[in-house]
Amino acid sequence: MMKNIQLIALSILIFSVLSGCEKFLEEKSDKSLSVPATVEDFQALLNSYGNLNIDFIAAGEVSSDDYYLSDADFNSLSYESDKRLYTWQPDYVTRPQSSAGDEWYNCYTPIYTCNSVLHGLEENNLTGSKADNIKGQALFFRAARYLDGVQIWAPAYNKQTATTDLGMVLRLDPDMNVPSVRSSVQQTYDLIIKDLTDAVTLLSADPSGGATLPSKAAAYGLLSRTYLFMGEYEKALQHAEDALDHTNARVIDFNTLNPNADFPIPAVNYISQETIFWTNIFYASQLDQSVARITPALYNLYDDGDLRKVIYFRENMDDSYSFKGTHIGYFGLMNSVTPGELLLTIAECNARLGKLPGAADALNQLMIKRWKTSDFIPCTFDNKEAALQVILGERRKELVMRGLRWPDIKRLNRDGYTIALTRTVNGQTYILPPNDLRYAIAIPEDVIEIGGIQQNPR
Amino acid sequence: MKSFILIIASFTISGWLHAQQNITGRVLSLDKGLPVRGASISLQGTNLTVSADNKGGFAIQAMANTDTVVLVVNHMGYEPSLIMVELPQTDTLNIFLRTSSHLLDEVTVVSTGYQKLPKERATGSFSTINNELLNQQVGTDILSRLPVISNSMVMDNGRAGAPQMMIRGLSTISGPKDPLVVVDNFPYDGDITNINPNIVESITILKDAAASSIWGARAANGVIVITTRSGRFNQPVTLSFNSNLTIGAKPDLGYIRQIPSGDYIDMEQELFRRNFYNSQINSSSRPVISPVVDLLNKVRTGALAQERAQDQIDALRTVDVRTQFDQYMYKPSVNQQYFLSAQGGTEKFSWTSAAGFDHNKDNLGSTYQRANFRFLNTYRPTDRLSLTAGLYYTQTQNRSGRYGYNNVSMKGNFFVPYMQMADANGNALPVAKDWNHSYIETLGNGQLLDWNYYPLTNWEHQTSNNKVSDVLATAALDYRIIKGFNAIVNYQYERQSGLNTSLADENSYMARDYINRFAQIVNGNAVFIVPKGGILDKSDNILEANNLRGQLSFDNTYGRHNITAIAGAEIRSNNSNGHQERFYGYNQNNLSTGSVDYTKTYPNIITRGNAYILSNQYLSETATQFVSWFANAAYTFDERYVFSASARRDASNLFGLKTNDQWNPFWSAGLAWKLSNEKFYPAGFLPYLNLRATYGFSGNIDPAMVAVNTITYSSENSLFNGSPMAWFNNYYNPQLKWETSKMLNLAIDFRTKNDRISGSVEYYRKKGENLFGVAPADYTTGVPPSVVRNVASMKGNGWDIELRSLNIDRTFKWKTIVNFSAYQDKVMEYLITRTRAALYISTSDVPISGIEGKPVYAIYAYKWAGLDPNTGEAQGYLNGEVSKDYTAITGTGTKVDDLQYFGSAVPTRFGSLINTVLYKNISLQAGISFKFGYWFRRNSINYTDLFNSWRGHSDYALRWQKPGDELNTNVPVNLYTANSNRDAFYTGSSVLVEKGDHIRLQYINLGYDVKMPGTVKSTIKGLQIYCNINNIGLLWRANKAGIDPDFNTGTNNLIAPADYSLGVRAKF
Repeated sequence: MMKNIQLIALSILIFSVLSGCEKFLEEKSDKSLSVPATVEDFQALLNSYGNLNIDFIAAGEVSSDDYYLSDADFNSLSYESDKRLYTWQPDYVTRPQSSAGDEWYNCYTPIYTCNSVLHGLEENNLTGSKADNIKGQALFFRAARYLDGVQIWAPAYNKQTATTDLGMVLRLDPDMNVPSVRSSVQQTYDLIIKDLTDAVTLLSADPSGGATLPSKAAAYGLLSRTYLFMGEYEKALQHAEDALDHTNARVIDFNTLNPNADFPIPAVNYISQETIFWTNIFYASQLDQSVARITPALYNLYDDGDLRKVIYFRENMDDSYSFKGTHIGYFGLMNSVTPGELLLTIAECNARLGKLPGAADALNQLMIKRWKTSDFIPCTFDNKEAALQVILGERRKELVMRGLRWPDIKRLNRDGYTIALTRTVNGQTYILPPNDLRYAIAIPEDVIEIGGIQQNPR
Repeated sequence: MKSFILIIASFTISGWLHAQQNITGRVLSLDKGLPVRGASISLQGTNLTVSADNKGGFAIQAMANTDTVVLVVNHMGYEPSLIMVELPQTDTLNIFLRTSSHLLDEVTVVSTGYQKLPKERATGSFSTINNELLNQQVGTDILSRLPVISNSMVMDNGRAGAPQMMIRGLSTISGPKDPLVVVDNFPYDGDITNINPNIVESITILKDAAASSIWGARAANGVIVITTRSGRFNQPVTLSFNSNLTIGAKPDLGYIRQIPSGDYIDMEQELFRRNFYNSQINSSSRPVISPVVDLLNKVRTGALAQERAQDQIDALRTVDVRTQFDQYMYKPSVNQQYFLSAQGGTEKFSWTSAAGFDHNKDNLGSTYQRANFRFLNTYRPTDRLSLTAGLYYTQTQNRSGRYGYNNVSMKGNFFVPYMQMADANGNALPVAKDWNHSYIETLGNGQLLDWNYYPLTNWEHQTSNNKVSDVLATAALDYRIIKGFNAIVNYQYERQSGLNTSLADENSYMARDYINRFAQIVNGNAVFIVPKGGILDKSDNILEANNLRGQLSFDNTYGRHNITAIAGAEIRSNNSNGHQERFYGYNQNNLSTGSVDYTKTYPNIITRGNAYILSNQYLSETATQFVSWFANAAYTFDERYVFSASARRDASNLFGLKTNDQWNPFWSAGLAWKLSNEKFYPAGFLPYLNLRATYGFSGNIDPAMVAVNTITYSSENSLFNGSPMAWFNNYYNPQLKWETSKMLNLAIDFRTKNDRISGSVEYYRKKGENLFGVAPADYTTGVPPSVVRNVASMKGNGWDIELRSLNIDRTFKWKTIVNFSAYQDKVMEYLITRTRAALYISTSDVPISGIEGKPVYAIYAYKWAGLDPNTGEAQGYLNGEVSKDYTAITGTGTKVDDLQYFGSAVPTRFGSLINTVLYKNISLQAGISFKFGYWFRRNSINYTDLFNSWRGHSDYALRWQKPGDELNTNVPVNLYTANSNRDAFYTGSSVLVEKGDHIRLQYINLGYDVKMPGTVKSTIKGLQIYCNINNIGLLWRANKAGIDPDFNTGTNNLIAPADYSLGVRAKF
């Protein structure tokens, strides 16, 4: 009997210990870990600027004609793929993923974050203005990456062929088991426009989140950029004006700056006053300040009264010029939407739509801040073609090293311009003729193989 | 009580067998005359075995019709004894056993951590290592002694990272690969080097599923159970002392394949001529320029005369930095070990106390000190109850030393081979590091701190000091409810606290560099944003673990039926809590610190880029909690058949799982058949033969593996808007499954007549399914390719053979232990298909090769077509043709089938051979280990690395230089233009793959037992002087490249030098 009582007592002891299990097993295994479930969690994911705001694609800028490398500098590039990209090779132009320079990966990682946030908001039935704002941010970030990617890995948007041209792989779900399939260029742009249009209504007008978080102005600005690339000038014009209406960012008067400074454009904690929305381009080794020299063709476009000539460029010991006109206070390249870009879009669209006084007015608003006050003469236009030529020239001079030259070349060549790019390396000349297939850069070969997706036509 | 049972037992037995004669007696120790409890007494020629009770008493039955019998008496720690008894017995037999000093006793009891059971009653696969075998090696930690002396264990040094201890090969790909280490009853959560080897009594290795599945979710990689020494009841007080001194040789720096300085300088001169360095020299980020390039540049700019530069460069050609490292940095290591223990026991109380102290100083003068104190007491107020309380306290301190070859760098991780650290008088010389020194000399109007790096002395100023104290407290209660039925409660508490201090004092390069970088020149005066002084990082980490186990254990014999069973539940929690912070402007003399503003960016004085000051602080808190049920039962029929089964379920708070999904079942079943106990078994050559078979299912939990998104909050808020930031820690994968491991084990145990040869042969198969792995994935998903998923299934099989033989048994004794294992694994299915060859070739580690039928880790290489006789360039194959299209060869041009397959990257046949020779009071042991059947990839020159990272290789001197060289060398020409694909082809080509097979003489141990004169003998019971040589070196290797395959991974690896020890063991 005694034994039985002891047995029962012991059993009760063990069971009572184990009945407390549920709580014991629910304790967090790591206090800094959580399963994202609240608006705060999703906002924290989108706050992670190191994931969302940086490493926009540099391959376009690398392939553009605003800079060149000396033979010695070309030869000292570490990655063979960097050399191949610089010389417009049709394949193997991506660094290995382990080098952190695989731009396909850099493009899709933030898309995963956006998809997870969108999935999580829905799964947790989060609603209300905060949740809406977060949804708007996620849609915006996703659209920004797809817009960035489609400029690199697809041909320029062309109404006639957009439904058959290969666009981006459109991933809208965080599930990694869903296979990747390339969409058409049309589908890609449709998604970008839908996401940005939704984002415009969801995002709050209040830019208190700072320049690293999407705002209404940023969404309008990106919509304007998208329509400009597509050649829909009325919409591009409309949204550029909307964006300017919603932002506090202003064009900096270059007359107030010290051109001798290492980085003359002032940035407080990496953000200049011209930043509507802060994003950076991947720091590609071809674009490194110590090797990328500005092509004389570009440098010679600047007039002496144009302050950008001294604010943007530094003279090297060998009489070449390097770029220093960054907006982040050190050498790093920004591709943010700025009031300057919007004014140029307004000018261009007005010109294309035949509204020449509006075009001149927008351009003058920018130029008055860029020219020495004493030398500034406001421009007037009486001819659409001449106006466009001036405006596009100013666009190139203003938006140096902003990741915009490559899409501009693509869309202008689509529209009949004949911008042919040439480089000479170690005595060999490379040419990229207008509308060449290589304007859609090769997707990393390992993605093609593992994901089973279609490579761009070569 | 006990004798009462014996009497009952005698009655019962006599009831079965007619007309038996009773033999009774006592087993006593020869030296003290104390009872030898548990000694086994068997009747030769029969299967009868009994064991001695507490008082050493026993009773055994002999058949009536015999008039003499021979009793065989055995007990661990004593020499076996054969006694002839004439029947009928006239008076009580007193059998005296002599204490064994050298015999390799069969450890008959194995410990699973949950129970101790006689090995012969176990179906599972256990391998035991006794104290004597452990003591053949000298050292501070226990686990490093195991690979050479244990069966089926190998250190895999061939892949990247730290050597991996493996029991029976791989069970997982990306999950935790370490075996579970259990100390006495519970897994040890602290640092295993806290355990002083002198307190270890024996080690049991649980190899198959039946042995290890009781440990559930963490057992798939095998379990190592360390049993510590404990006091015994009825034992006089004994004191034992062990002390040794170990001197380690200096490592051979000649093993580093360093590029000759002259070759390196020639290369730099040519590259300089080709303007290769221009972008670096002109770069606004002012990267470091090597001394020779700096001199050449000074000549070019006219700052230095050509002749003077040439003189200096010529002087540098004669410098070999290895000579300086050898002279100033590496010194012989000195390790001291002292250990004293005392134990004793009365009828009701047993105790042991010990204290140990270790002081190690390695080749670089870094020190490790460990103090251990241990108390373990058992109180047995009645026959039915025993209470045990133990305390083990460890305090260690680690202090950094001088800089070794891999601790110094000028650029990235490397330096030029002609780096000069010391002048002719041994004074420290400045070395350019990180920045262009000709440029920084022009900065700051002389107001900046000295910006030079002095590798020779910098270690004195940049130090780390790590203190750990660990308390392990145990309590156990064992209560016998009824005979054979006990209730046991075990509790263990552990608290390990570590305090780590890293100080870069005001004279350290790190502090001076950091302060200078943030300095600003205002009106010609330097303003220091980061305050002058040292930079101190302090971090602490506290680990607390609680383990509580309640267990019922049953052990009883009913006639020919024996049942042993345990069942219970346990609860474990492991909490760890840490933080780190940094102080700038630290002054160690008065503990003052400066303050900095982490919220602002400041321009770098060199690059002019803006940056924040690093705060280097974090907080962490983790908790792992487990609840488990377990049961294990074995049924033995007639000492012939054993059936065992065990089951366990674990639940944990692993993140992201719902409580319902947390319970994971594990089980095993086993059979053993003692063939030699069958009546039909012919007694003869093999008096003992046992067959075993087990099958079981165990798991491997990777706490990080969950199917949902999890995020980690950053310890710092966004620089931009001050809001919290988070990132993904784990990625949403609704298809994630648990990893499982199944193992079948078949074994034969045998002993020849008189135990001349004993051993076991085991065969096992295992199958791992849904194994987690990293495999190249379509990263269009946005999920990093490094993310772990279910990628593969694998099959493994192998043989473990363990033989112990007594070759010569006279005054001169010779004994041998042979451990041989063969292991093979292959991928069964791989969920991700890959055909691109480059993914199978990595020069930094061995990637998982997901090819069905091939080993999990295998060596593949690009096919080699020799050097181009005209240009000296490496040639491979593309579409079957000799080709130099490196981009295509290393790209999609080469498919897996085009690669040359060599074989496994982990040893497939390995083991050890341990010989012991005894002559009078001299003993000599030698341990040899061997690894066969595997391949590795050796390093060679990589021109991209050479030009850009300053990382050279001595193969450079062997490169092709003129037509005809291709007949004697495979090292490609230096074209002075880097092509990373060309280098990737060469470094991944078949000419750099070598066979890993080798035989190593690990240790020799010589012992001398000092014979005590009679008068001293009563005080000093034993005195042994021993000397030992460890890490002696390779006896044979397959590769002709002079590489020790165990010291090949990574760059600039050094071979562990030999250690020479002298020590003394005494017993009072």
